[in-house]
Amino acid sequence: MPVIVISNPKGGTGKSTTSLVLATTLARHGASVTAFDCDPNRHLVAWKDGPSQSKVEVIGHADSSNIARMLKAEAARQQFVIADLEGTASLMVASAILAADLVIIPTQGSAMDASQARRAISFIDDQAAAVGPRPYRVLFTRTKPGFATRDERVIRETLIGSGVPLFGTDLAERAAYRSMFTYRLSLEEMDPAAVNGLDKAVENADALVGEVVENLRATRQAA
Amino acid sequence: MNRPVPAGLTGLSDFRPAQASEPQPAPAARAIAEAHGFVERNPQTIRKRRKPTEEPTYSFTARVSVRSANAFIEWCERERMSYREGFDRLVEKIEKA
Ligand SMILES: Nc1ncnc2c1ncn2[C@@H]1O[C@H](COP(=O)(O)OP(=O)(O)OP(=O)(O)O)[C@@H](O)[C@H]1O
Ligand SMILES: [Mg+2]
Repeated sequence: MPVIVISNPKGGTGKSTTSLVLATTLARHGASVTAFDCDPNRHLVAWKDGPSQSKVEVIGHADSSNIARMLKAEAARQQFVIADLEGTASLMVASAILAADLVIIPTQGSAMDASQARRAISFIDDQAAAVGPRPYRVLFTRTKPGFATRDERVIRETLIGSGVPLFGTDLAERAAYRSMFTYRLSLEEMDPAAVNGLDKAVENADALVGEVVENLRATRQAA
Repeated sequence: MNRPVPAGLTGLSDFRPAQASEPQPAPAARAIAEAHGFVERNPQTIRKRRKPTEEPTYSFTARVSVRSANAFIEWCERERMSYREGFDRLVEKIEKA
């Protein structure tokens, strides 16, 4: 049922990577999942064309006029719907955000990523009056476990200081997450001997999905 | 890979496919989106200066007199047409002759 939208109008913040990690991890735990590929680079569509046996379904033909309707239709059919949005501020992005049960805003520890993350947040906040609040949460991506850069620390503190909710789990920098796109497989299908730190990558994916699911359950309870 | 399933992921059956009861976004939503700079992304298309030919084309080099070359180039410029169009017009004259 929940529609999880992955959005940051800044390019290259880790939206497609986060989307694929979430979708394949949920599927690995037995859930039915549809991932919408709304990124003009079509990474998820290309992934689905590969040899993966993952049950994740991919839809790649939505546009700004039908995205909200299509997301809701899939939510009626699947346990989870995930939308990988384009890295621009488009009407499609705005429409998808409005159809979301949870908006995940990936950001790297850079001021540019964070300022565009804020842009998405201020849009969501402004919309709240018209269409009701949309839960959102910022996700730090490509972090190095145990080594936060100064920029990253400052940005984290600033966001927390202004009341922006952050995920406790980051999506760390891992070669395995890139390899998913290279080999067009899900994490559990890759060879641990060929991909560095695969075990850690799976662990991180589980922790993140665990937090996402916990978050969705809490929102549902509150409703 | 054999790993313990983290608590919270052992059963996801409480997430059931279901029609969301949310109403469709108000028309105001679009205006708010645009105010924040979320605008329709028009697919960029290249505007062609000339109409493309429908027929197959062929390329050849010819050594011609400077006098004819100058006359031909000037005529094409005057008529604002490509060499291809100019050549086509000359060939039409053969057909009519
Ligand atoms: N956790 C990660 N570990 C390793 N590499 C990553 C991670 N997250 C993203 N990357 C890499 O960073 C780059 C950008 O990531 P991605 O394509 O996921 O971003 P995006 O936000 O979807 O970009 P766009 O805005 O262009 O759609 C890619 O090369 C990707 O492989
Ligand atoms: Mg992307």
